[in-house]
Amino acid sequence: MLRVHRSGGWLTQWWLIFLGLMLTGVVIAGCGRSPAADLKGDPGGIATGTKSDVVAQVAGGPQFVDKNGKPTGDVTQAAKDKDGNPLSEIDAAKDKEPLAYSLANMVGQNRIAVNIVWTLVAGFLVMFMQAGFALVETGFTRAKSAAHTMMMNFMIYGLGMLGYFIAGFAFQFGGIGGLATLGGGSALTSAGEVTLNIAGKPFGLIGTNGFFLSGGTYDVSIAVMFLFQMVFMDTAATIPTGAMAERWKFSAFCIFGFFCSTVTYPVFGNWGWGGGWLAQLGSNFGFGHGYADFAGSGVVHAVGGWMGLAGAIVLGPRIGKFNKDGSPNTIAGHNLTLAILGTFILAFGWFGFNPGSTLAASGSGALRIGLIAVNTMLAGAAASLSAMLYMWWTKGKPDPSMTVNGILAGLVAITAPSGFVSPVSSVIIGLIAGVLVCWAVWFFDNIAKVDDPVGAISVHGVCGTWGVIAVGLFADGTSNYGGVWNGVGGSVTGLFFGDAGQLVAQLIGAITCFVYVGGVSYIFFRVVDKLIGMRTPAETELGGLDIPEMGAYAYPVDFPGTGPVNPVPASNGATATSAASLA
Amino acid sequence: MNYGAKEANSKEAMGLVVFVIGLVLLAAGWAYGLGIFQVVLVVLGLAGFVAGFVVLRGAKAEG
Repeated sequence: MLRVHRSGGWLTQWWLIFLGLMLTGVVIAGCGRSPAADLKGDPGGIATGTKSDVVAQVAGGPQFVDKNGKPTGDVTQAAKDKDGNPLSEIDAAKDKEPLAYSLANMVGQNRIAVNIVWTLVAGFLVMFMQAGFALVETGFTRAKSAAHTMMMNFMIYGLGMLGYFIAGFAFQFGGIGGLATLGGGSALTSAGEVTLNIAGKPFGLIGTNGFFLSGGTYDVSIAVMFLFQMVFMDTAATIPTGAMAERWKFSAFCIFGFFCSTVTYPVFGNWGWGGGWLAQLGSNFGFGHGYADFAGSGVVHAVGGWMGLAGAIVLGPRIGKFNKDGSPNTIAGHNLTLAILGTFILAFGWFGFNPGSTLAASGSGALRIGLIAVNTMLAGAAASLSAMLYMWWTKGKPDPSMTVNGILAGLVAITAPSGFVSPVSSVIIGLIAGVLVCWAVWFFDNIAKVDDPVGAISVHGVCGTWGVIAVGLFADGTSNYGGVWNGVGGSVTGLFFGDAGQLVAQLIGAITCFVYVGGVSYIFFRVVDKLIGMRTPAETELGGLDIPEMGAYAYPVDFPGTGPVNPVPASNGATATSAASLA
Repeated sequence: MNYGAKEANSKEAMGLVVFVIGLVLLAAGWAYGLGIFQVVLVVLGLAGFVAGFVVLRGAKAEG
């Protein structure tokens, strides 16, 4: 059997000890917490969205202030009386003005309904991105393993979803403290966050409410949040299937699906989005608004990219990728048409990914969704142009595969800043991402010697990290989102607009993502490799993974490139392909 | 090379089933309070994890 590019040793053992201690601590700290078990949810959807969700302009009402105590000018918040009691005049009018009281409740429920419908539709769009990933990755790889590549992209949806349902969602959002724009979610109480207190500062590590969406988390608001966040997790989980394509054993991939959705992704997601310690960098240490990642350049894409990097290192390159002198060979994909169609599907789905991350379309500055959508388009377009021109200039042809990766790089890079930056900044971020992805692909091929068949590490890992940093540079302080972000008043503002602290928070987040995700994933893949094997045998890889791993060809057996022709007579009405699977 | 039946290996599926059951039991035990029932679930869950890998390792040896 051919084994290539293996490494490990004492570093792995120390990582294992560290990981074991960390997990033991978290288990002891979190065991038996689950405060949501005693709370009531709203599974009937009749108590979600009330008069208290009415947003009104309250002249003279209390204003949000920034960290220096200066008013931000924001007077948009829940309607209150002059004493700050929420809508007490309407409560008092319940008997005298029953129609006004009912109207206030209905307005509140309609606002929440708009937000819920918006978030669900955006989630449906993101779910469809799975189809885009499947087509892109399969198109960029060889026909002889197309069924295997498709199947990984298909099954990560089910594997990841169940893992996230069992434990991932609870770990990520089980201590976030409620979902204001979705009208409730109080069962995700902040008491459910496992927190370390160091020098009087809280460091959120992991949530503990919401296992199996049961107890108080059996709730309409939380269900919407679960759906939207689950498809984000699945996006991250499907990225490594591209970087590790054409040589990953399917059973090892299945184990990865559960590990990623229950541990790797949710833990970093908690730190960045679930009220964890990265989000607290602003309130704890004054680093801007803490780690700000609007839709997931870091939490989703860099996590996926770094998981893919760790996996690709452990697997080693495909047979024939590198020559004896280390120089790389191009292994062309089998269907550029599929890849470009998949890219369009991804670009379409991104309109759910970024604008949907407001979790709202009504109130609290959520109407910025229009700008977020435009920023998304512009960055993708700019990156496709810069990638195409860069390749054309340096290689003499407008390389379609790198142009495709260019638009994806731009979309990945704008994902974190999309809610905080201007259209002009979006174009700049995209232009840089388009060139960056070309350099990154060259780097991994020629310097790092990591075989990434579809460029997933460059697109998602490198350009995702660029997107995280870009927030710290280009955020212009015009967004609102209720006048507060990560518990810090005012608007997220980057270095170029006056807040160097935000860039520090972004850099800490980017480095943490690489170290945590890369480290944990590397250990995981090494352990799985040791226990059950990660890589298919050399003869399987050479012939194509479709029949040995899946028992079926993606294409008819005489399709060019579909492995060694092994004709099986079709009988009993079965097609040649399905008959082959029974041979 | 012989494609198809030779590589068919149901043991991998068995190992994955045991692994998933272990995951579910572990999460259920951990999530809902401290008590003898939860401890039993956690222990069974961890045992499921280990058993799943053992079966998968056996499948690797046969493959």
